[in-house]
Amino acid sequence: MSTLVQRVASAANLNEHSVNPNSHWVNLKGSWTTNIVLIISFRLIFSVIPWSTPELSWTLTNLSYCLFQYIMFHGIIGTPFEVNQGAYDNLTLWEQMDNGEQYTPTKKFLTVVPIVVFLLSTHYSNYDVPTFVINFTAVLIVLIAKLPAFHRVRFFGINMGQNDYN
Amino acid sequence: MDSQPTPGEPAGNEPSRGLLRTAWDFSFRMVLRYIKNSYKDDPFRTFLEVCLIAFIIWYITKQKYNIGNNEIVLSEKEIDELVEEWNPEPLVPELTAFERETLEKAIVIDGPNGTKVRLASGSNTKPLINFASYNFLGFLDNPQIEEHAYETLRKYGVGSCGPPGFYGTLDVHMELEKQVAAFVGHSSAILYSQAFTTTLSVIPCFSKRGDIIVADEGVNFSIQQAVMLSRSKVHWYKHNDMADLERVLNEVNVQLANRRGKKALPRKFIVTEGLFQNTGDIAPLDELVDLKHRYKFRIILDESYSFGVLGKRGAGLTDHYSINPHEVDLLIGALCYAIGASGGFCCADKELVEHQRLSGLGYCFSASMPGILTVAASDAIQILEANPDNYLVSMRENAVLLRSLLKRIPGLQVEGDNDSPLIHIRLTPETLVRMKRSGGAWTNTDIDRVLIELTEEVQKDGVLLTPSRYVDEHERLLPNSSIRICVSSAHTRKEIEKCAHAVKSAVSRITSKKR
Repeated sequence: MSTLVQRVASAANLNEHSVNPNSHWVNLKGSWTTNIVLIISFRLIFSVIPWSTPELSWTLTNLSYCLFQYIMFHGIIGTPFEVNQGAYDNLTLWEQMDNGEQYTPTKKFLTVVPIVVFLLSTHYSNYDVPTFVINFTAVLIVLIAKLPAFHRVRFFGINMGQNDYN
Repeated sequence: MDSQPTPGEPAGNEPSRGLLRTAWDFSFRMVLRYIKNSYKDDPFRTFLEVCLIAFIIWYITKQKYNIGNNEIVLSEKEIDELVEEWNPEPLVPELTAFERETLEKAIVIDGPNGTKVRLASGSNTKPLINFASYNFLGFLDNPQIEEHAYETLRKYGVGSCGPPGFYGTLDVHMELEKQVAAFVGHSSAILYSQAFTTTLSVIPCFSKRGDIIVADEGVNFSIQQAVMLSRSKVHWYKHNDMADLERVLNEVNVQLANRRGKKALPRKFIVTEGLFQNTGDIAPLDELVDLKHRYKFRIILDESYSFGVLGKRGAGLTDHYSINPHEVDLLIGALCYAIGASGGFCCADKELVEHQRLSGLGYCFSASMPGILTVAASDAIQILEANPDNYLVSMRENAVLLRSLLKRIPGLQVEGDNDSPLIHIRLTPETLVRMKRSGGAWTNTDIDRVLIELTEEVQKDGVLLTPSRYVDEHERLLPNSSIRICVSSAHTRKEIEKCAHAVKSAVSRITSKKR
């Protein structure tokens, strides 16, 4: 079976002068705001479910935001646009952002937001231990995927793209 | 939530300062309360949360950096040394002795190109019979086409002044596209304004990074460049060797089947040439189509030299083998060789053609063909379509005749398929060995020199030939030096015989000299 850790090959040139139409929108202020709006609306929607406790609705909010981030930034690879004969084909949106530059303002923002949501939710809902473990794991997964050390690194052969043809 | 000033504060301070103090005080208490509330007799959880907060602070304070960027920091001394060492290369590199010779001896034609040409240089003022241009059907100096071209020039002017998508499309372009598609027998066609860039646009337009190309080793320079620019994985098979092609196709499919993980299928192409420019061979299309179906590949066929030449109607390789043109997924052709105009085209299904209109680089970013050349191409195809036998039969007879005459010349090696009007001749290795005085080895430049000398000898007899030229360092397999002879339907039997005779006497004169 697939090895635990693999690195994807990519010819994406880290060229600051080219604009990647697939990822540049993430840097807009509007998309920052959308994250906040999304979290608030998750919280509101889950709180109007009948018989829901604050604990349940915070858990759902946290999990759905983490799932949203995972799908958007780490789950889908490639771009719908043709860039340099498919240079970004094997990269996730997170790896495409800012041409692979680390610790940019948007990356900092998107890293801090799930942690803050998690801290707020544990605080306001007094998680019991199993719920805490579930939420903490979800946050941990999206955080690890964002670490610079795991740039272009894939676990369990997930999202390898067409690399393994060789 | 109280906004009382803290006891230690001096009274009578400014209101703004007090407010700041209050805000600080308020937030401090809130944090304290938060920490107190979240502790809940659970040190482990608190520890995790503190770790997370520490992580936030650590992450936010980091400077941004680029992972792919291993910048080397040089000291002032090292910079000085590098500057000292730097030796600027000339903008135009110095020519080698051989290159200078070639440049001096380059053939310059005075007046229009055609079956008979007059040289601008040298003392030779007699017209020469031209066997150097790809003028297979004699359309280069066809008076009928010329006359119509003058009329078109008055109507459309010289250039189209824009890419096809940007005010560059004329009615004649669209008509020619339809005409070419109908002539070849494919669904639709797209015109490019230059033949060399047609291949360079079409192949990268469909074959991207991660896709697979299986290509013939003997393809011309344009295809080699196109295959490289596509960034696809390229596998080469031996020139026109179908058994080797099958081996490669099988290998590729086995590799694909054994991939781990998610199995996204790449596109797979066989790329080859109809009539090979470098050898004059013809690709076995029937076997290629069979292999294509068996191994589930697509065929990209470059018919630049075979369009207008091969087949009963002159419609190219598919016509030659009577194979439905739809079996060839992307059929690339040129209008500047046999047709005698300019530009190229790609015949394919409608979807594939429309895709090229948006992402074929040569189509999007080059000005379209001038109206005059478009009409010339259209006329040539029309003439060929109306009367194929007038042109094709005499061209083939000439080719067969010249080939058989050349084959009789001792010390000469004649290459290419029997049907091909593109003939490459070489001096046989034995002859070359015999010519060398002291058993020394021949270098490529030496052979090129001999061939140039041969063409000069032939010129004295009133025949114009040219050695084939390559960009040596960029060719995948550099073909052996040769002289390329292009037979035309416009040549008479007498001219063909004259050519063969001239070559024969030149060869005997050249080979008798020791060097």
